[in-house]
Amino acid sequence: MITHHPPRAVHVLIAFILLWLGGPQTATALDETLEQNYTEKLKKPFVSAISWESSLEKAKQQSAEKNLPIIAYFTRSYAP
Amino acid sequence: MEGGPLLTDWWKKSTKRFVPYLNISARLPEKPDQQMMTQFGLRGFPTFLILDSEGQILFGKEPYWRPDSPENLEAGLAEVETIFRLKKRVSENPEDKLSKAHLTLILGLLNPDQCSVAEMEAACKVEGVPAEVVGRWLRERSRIRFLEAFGPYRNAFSTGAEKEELARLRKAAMERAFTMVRDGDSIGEDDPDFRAFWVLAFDGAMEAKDRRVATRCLKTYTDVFGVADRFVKGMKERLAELPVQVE
Repeated sequence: MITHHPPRAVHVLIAFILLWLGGPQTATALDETLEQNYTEKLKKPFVSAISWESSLEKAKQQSAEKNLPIIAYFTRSYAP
Repeated sequence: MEGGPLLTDWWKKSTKRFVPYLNISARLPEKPDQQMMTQFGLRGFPTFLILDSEGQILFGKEPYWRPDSPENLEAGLAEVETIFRLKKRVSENPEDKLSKAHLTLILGLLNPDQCSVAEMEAACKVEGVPAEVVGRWLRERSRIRFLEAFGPYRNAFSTGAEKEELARLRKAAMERAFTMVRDGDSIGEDDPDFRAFWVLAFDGAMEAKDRRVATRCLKTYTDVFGVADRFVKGMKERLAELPVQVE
């Protein structure tokens, strides 16, 4: 039996349409998750335990005014 | 860290001695300072750095550091407190030559590839500068001197440069290493380029037909890497063929 497959270009077109329809929604959902993770991170007790500076520029200003070093802690919220 | 040391009393009390800065990578560009990991050349989490008021890294990147105990926090702060003490002295008394020189050397050693060699040399000559800091600079200066010639050769080698170009750059590196040994200079044993330095110095001495320096290179090389090292046999044979110099 001979089966007629649609041309490759049709497949590509369908994929683009699906991406166009689903893409923005997926990106928004991802952003929402990332936003939620970030908010959760800020709620952690270590954040409120001391007065962290969240802007390096402000930390540098304080460092210059007080003649103190900066201890910078780099962490992430997008993954555990 | 976040569930342990960063909640302890010793950590909370210690914040009088520094400005705590928190950077959270969120993959959300509108959140604060999302470019900092890249800016500081950091790859892993968690990372702690000690910075100065210009944002320059003073400690924490290499070697990797974590203030996960009072002792480790103290060790990190001790590394940088001298800098802040010297900065204070210099700002209070700009004529304090000793503090200025000491500060120049410490800051230069933090960033040796960008420091002014002339300023560092001048600072070394100021009376009273700690010998340990001067010693560190002298070792660093030797490393810079060797890398000036060796760096281009290594780069050319790793990028597969033309044979003639490689030979030219190797010759320059050989001459530099040889000249350094002849002048009583060398790079530290803990330097990753230590082996390359002595092999090139030996080849440079052979090229210059300087048996005295070649012998010294072979001896140093053998002392460190042992007689079974893959280059030693060939080096010995070549040295044996070199005519003895008449003083």
